[in-house]
Amino acid sequence: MKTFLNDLKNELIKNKVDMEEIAEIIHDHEEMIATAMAEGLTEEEIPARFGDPKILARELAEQSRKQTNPIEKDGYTLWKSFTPDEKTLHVFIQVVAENVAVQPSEDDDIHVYYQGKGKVDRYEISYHKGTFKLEAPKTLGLLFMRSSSDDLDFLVEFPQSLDIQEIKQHGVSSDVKYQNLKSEKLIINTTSGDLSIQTSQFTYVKVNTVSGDLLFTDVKMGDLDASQVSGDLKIERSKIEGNIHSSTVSGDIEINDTEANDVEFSAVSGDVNGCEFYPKTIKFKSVSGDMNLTNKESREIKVIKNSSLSGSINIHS
Amino acid sequence: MNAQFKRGIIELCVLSVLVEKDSYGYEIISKLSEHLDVGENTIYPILRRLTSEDYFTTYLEESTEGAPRKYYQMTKKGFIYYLSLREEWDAFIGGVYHVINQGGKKNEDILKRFKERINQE
Repeated sequence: MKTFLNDLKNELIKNKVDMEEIAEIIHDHEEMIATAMAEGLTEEEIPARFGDPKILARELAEQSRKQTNPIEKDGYTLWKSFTPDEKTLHVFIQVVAENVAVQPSEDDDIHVYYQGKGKVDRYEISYHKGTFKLEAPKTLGLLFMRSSSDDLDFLVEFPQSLDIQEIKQHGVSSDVKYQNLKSEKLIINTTSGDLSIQTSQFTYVKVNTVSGDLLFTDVKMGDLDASQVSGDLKIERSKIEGNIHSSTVSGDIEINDTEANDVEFSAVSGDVNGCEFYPKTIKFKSVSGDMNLTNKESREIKVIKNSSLSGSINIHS
Repeated sequence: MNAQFKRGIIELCVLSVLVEKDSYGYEIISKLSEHLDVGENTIYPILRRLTSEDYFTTYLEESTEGAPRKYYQMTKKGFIYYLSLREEWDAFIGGVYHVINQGGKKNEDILKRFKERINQE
């Protein structure tokens, strides 16, 4: 018994487990081995029942490192990791005020990091058969009932080797930041959260916001369908292979250095401003908003429909 | 067998012991070793980890053999975790049985059919 305990203790020290924990582990083993020997287990049989001290110590050390030294990244703490079980991925994120950043992971696993004072344990998180879900606790209630202890932000990382089929995100005031991603579909609903998407590629993007602003930088998209009330839409250095369909009440739209196919804007009082913006056709429907395009190249841009009441359309090239 | 897979099964076995009654460390170890070759897969680290994750709590109770023993007790959270693992296991093992028994359970029959097929080719 003494040999086993001494070996175990030495191995735990070697593996840099802290003394308090070692004392507890040794104490537990003293008790278990005493019981075992009272029941007739011999000295030689101890390792067979309790494990090789070397392997046991290594396993315990690994566990305690995970608990006491959480892995940090850019101020975030690692919460969960998942190893993908399928080549495709579906993503569902449902939050309230938590900001969410999504980017590729550096290895082949999915990682979720968090930051803030909120209790992360109350969030539902799962990955099963190619479906990733992150959900805020439903008991949190309405936004104004929330305290600062509910404050929490997330950083989610998906491996680049995965073929992302869709990302669906629902938030109320949460800001969303996506970078270096590739997905078939991206569907985002938010009330006042801002959305920033950088250097990414999507076949279809649909965004609904009330007062949230949208910013696309270096994004390659198939179709873009954006619906806003007072939020602004800004697209920079992007390529839209399909069509843009954007509707807003009072938000402004600004598009720079971007190519697109058919474009349809409908605004009430929002203006549309473009610089180096080359769509093939434009439909502009507005009550009092103006549209101004300033392009260096004089490519043909067909204005299909202009049903602006008091606004004007100007294309300079 | 894959070590991680085996560890998951042993974890389920530990949970299955504690779902019935509170037990002390060696009681759990000897119960499992009775039926399973636990070998290198040590049970104590599992007890320790599940306790730190609040699936179990512990308390001390006097024993007839001297020093008090540490008893492990499953929490509500542990019970929910047990149910989810159990469900996953049942679904998995059900699938495995279905696949391996699709040719029946009799080895003689399987061998007979195998021989026939090999001879034909």
